[in-house]
Amino acid sequence: MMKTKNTIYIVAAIFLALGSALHAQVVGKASSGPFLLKNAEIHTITKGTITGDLLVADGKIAAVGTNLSTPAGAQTIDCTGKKLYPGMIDGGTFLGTAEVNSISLTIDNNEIGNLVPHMEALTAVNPNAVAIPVTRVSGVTTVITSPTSGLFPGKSALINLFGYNPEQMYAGFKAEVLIFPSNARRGRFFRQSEEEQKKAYEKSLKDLNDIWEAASTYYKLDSIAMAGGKKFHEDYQPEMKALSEVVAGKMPLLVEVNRKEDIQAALKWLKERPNVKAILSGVAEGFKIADEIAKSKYPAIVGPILALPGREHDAYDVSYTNASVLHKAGVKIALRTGETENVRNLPFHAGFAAAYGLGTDEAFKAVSINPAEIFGLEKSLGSLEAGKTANLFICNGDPFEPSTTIEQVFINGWKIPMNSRHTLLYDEFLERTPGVK
Amino acid sequence: MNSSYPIQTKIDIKMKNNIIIKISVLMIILLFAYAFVRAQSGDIFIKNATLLTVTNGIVEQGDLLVQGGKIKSIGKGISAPANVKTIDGTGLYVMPGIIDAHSHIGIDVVNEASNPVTAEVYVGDVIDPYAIAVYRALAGGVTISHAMHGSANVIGGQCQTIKHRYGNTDPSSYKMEGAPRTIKFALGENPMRVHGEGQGIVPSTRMGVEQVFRKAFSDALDYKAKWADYKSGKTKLAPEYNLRMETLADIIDGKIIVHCHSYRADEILMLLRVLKDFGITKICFQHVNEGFKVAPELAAYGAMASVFADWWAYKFEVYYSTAYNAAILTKNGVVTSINSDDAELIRHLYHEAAKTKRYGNLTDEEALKLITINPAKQLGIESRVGSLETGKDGDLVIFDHHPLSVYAVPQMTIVDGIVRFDRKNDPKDMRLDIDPEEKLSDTYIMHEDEDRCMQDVTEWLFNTQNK
Amino acid sequence: MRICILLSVLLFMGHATFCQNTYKMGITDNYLIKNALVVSKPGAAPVKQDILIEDGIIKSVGPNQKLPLNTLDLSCDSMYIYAGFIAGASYIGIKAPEEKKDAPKPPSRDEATYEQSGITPQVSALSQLNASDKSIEDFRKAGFTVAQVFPKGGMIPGQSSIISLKMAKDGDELVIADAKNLLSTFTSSRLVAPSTQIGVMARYRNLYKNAELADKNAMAYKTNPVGLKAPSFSEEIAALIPFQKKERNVYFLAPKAKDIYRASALQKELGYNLYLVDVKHIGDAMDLVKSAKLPVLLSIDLPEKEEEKGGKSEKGKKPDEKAAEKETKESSPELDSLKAKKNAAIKAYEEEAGKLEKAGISFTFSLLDAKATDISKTLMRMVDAGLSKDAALAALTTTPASWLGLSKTHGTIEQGKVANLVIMDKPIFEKEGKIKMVMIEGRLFDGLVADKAPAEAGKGGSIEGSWTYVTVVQGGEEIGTFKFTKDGSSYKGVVISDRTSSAGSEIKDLVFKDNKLSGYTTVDADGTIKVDFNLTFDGSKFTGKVSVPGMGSFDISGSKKPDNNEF
Repeated sequence: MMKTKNTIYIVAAIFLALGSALHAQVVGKASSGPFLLKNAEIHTITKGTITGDLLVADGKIAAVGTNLSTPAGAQTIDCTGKKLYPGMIDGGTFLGTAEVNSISLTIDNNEIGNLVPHMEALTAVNPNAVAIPVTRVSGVTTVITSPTSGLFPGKSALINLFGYNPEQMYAGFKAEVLIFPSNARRGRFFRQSEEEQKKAYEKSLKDLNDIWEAASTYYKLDSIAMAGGKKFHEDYQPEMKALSEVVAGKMPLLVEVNRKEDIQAALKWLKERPNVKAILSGVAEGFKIADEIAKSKYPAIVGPILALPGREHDAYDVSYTNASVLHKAGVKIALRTGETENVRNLPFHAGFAAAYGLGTDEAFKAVSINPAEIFGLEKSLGSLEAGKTANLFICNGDPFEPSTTIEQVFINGWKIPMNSRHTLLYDEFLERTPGVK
Repeated sequence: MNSSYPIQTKIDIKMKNNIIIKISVLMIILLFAYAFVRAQSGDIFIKNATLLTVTNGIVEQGDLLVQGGKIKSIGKGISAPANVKTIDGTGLYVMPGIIDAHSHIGIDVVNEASNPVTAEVYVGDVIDPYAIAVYRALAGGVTISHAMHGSANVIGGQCQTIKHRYGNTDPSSYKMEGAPRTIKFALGENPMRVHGEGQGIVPSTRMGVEQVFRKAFSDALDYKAKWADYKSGKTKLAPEYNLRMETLADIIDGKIIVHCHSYRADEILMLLRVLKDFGITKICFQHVNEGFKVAPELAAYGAMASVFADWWAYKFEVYYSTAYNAAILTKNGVVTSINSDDAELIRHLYHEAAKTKRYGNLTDEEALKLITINPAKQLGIESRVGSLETGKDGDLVIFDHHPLSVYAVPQMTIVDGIVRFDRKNDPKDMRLDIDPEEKLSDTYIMHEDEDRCMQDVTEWLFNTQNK
Repeated sequence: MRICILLSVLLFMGHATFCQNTYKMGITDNYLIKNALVVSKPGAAPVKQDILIEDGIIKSVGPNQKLPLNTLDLSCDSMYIYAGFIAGASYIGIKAPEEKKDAPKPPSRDEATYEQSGITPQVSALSQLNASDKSIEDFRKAGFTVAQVFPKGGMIPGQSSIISLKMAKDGDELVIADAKNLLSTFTSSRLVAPSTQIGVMARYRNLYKNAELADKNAMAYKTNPVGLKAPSFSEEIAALIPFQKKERNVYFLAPKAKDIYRASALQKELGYNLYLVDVKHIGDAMDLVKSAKLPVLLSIDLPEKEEEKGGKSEKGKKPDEKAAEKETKESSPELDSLKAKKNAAIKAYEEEAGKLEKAGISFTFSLLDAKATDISKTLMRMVDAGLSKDAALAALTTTPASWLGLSKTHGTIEQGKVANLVIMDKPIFEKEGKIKMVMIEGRLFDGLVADKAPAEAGKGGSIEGSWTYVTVVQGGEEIGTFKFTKDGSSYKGVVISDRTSSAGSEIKDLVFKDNKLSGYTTVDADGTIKVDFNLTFDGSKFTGKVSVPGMGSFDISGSKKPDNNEF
């Protein structure tokens, strides 16, 4: 008996040592099914909650129903007493493009320059970033990963958190990011004087308009030339090319904006440009002008929820209640963490929004079907319906509760190994051998 | 110009004045409310609540009486004395006030980064009783926090355990009476970056960090000896007084608890060796992201650990981290707490503690200890606070759900029997000090690393690096 | 309301000579002030009297006095006369020592000299006193005749002197007494230790403890030096000994309640005599101030009221003032509530003086932060907010006289006292009342504060003075200063910025004509670069271009620095 146990430990130890020597991020491989998840409490999100079976095949949810028959070769997973949810979607992160925050050479989401809309976050996504497995085992299967800094930092992309190259991970949505000029003071140690700040703000507003005008001109001339079957412009102008897609309304614009006055300015700016398919992101002070935002009809990706109020005189809980206020005003909302290594906390951000007025059901929609709709992917993501991508997870309780265990995650139909650096270190060190002596 | 403009303005002004008058009246009422709040201790009776005592299990449908700021009785069927404010606790949960063993709220300065050793400085000198962060922490159920010096220096300044008596404007009223003295140490990247990289002086490596400690303590022993000679009459002229050396000597004499910012396993073991050599036993490691790797050594030394629930990867020394840290440390017998180091995180430490249920399957009681009795032990105040026991301070939080649920919303926070946060009745704007020159259009602040370990250091880095 | 013609002539003459900056002026210093309404001390009713002044001293006060020989008759019918004001604390006439840019750097930030750390308790205000500083005239016009002046500096700037605000050739002549009160602050040094307020607090503990020990060691050595090495000496520590021993007073800069609590906490530990100076908002610390009987020097610098901002002409407004105005026009419950709270905060500052009076706390005024031209308005606001006129007058006259040990000679209008007087056209603290004249030691000065607009520069005017500029060069902003001085009919100029020495870089070929300026300077950066300027001046602003051959041309704009910026 003793011997067998020791052997197991030794094997495990060798395996672990090997694992860390190879810098693998997980132990084990994903398997592709098909899988029949039997007798689960299925939270479809769009079609109510049923007790039944769900079949995963060829990367899709093949069927949702009761007493589904087991197809040949399918692995059956008994889900009695368990719950199924669609994988959660985070509407704004830096996942995959940042490894160690303080080391700039490991940060791939902030290119130099104010005007770099041709940068593609997807290009720099490292499929083996250590934070990816750490995130997906929490049930977050899909995230927007964004470039940042400057005015037009590049294109963000929606990615699934499993795959070995960016193409495998790409989930079918991209948007140009605009970090809308802000007149906010940045913290206690902000070094600009009021005058300098104001000047910088006015300059960036002017920059934005100048750039936009140039892009519009480019688009106009380009369309005329294209209609004539010719190539406009000999010069390579990738910035203008990228922005002209936004001008044309072909590429959505993710407008990062938080302060009340800045949101108002952004709404006014967008009103003058009705072609733009805009999505607001951040929207920290949206609650102050919820009706104005609702009237604009633009959807809002709200977050982080676990954040401080922007003003000393604001109620302490405005960040918690923001999503609820916007939802009640009629704004279509999704949630975001704005995180890199802790995107795994998305369910907790949603949980706080739920507790502070949004309610569990709406909060879950805000991390599933709502973002899918905002991204135009309602046919493939965001709910448990036949024909949709098989992004889902099995858990033993409310997915927002920290005490709930996320037991199994599926991404694109792949059954994901439920470990990560964090669980592997736990396994190795809970009972360290040798101990002290 | 529009001719109706002046008339319009007039009307506006009139209306505005009305509003201002109304608001002023409201403010006067509020000021009275504050005058009331300013008392130092109070009486309160909570009946029919679920009492999470932390040290003695759960009392369902229990009653709790606080008198003169202390818990007078806990149990069932306690009858309320006359004239004591009574709270119907039906359906509510009561737990001891949450204690944060690592924060930087309520003080005006965090780092005196001018030297690798600044034991002489003391953040208790610069308590900011107006800090809105303190009120926001109360709104998260935190009644006591350990206001710490930052991590710029190997031996930083002395810290202050504060009680969140928001509403008092005398800074000394924040100091928890009788709380032991504590001091901040820091290992690894921060002191290496500030002094080595920034100023070109030792330490720029973890080797250097060790020697900074050894020199400081050796100097302190020499200093002590000089003063002993003078006091015994062996020498006639007094040596120079040096508060830095005085403080270091007090650490060696066991008068000050060490709280050490640390991450990597190797540096943790280094400090344990140094402390052992100088006979220093009271040590709590802070952050200690790789504490899980040396949990048996920590337990053997009697060292404690105060950790983040899940922060990692923000710098290289926390790259090899695990959110299971608290669970591993706890299960290895290390007295562990979960801290915030952050003005936002401090608002939901109950939620941070709950994460240990996911990351390592801690029981409810184990999880609650991480934010109550354990941090109390680390601050040396466990006989006063950290659990619901008769005789302890009347520091309580009342929740609408079990505090480890993500749906838990703190309803009321009580310090010394006085309600300092009341979700239902507090106005939105809780500022105590209004800048008469504030620009109304410019009140939004983007939060960037405020109230954290490296606060105040940015100035140095700007001066010394091209970042 | 009537002043005799003779007086006007005299004043005119005085003014003319003043401008020439000669010391002796006027014909005689003997005056008989006739028929004035004299308020001899705070609380006294105005009595119609004559005041005879001889050789700078009040010879007699009483009705119907005879005009002696060599004495000028000064008819002051219906004018009100008060004792000259005394500033409890100020920087009048003080010019901060220039930062030594080439001073050797300390080996580390922790090993700076006392001076580098801003600890200069041995420094006397006298060493920084400049008799020709314009602030002396400015505050004199506001009615101040005597002032305690402190040196400028860092954490502990140094010790005070008491000066007369008369005209003199050099600082020494102004000094009435060396008060030697110590100004102490929580100011930290930015570049060396102590670099923050916690460092400053710790440093105070070291300093005072070592002052005590230095005193002890000196005594021990004096008693029996046999077998002992002489104790080490430090000028700074030695200078602190009288304060540590409570022989003299420590004036702690404590604008707000928090500072008051801190200065008081430190005092309890270190045991100095604490005066709170430049206090703006005591708030809840009032109980402490009262129970510890802390003397207060209240700042005559109140936060600006909203309506005052609107009073300026449209042209004189800065862009952010316009924004502020726009903001006041906007309305929302949030903004209204913020405004109400802000107004309440302003009111609380205005009410501090009255509260001190009611609490029976002895106080006078500090001018460290005050603008001379705002003083009467500020005092009026305090009176409107509950300060009694008598208490206000006492805080300007008798209280500071007593604190500074000048009660026998200053503070009231009595026979034998120094002839320091304030002559007003209306009772003091009455709306639209103006100081017509100020007498110091028997000499008359014009008290009228001219309401003239700041000198219009450009537009055919002068560009003499300092101008700040901002230019955007290749993505970065550069800020600096132009200094132009008149050189006959043309100008000389320098440009001062981070890239130049502190003296600046000379502008060559400077031509100024029709509001347009051209010239160039050279900058050393990988070889010498020529920088051309073409500026157009308009009033107190200018715009233009900076061009660098090979780099292009960049926008530059700037504005005139106020003339009174130097104090």
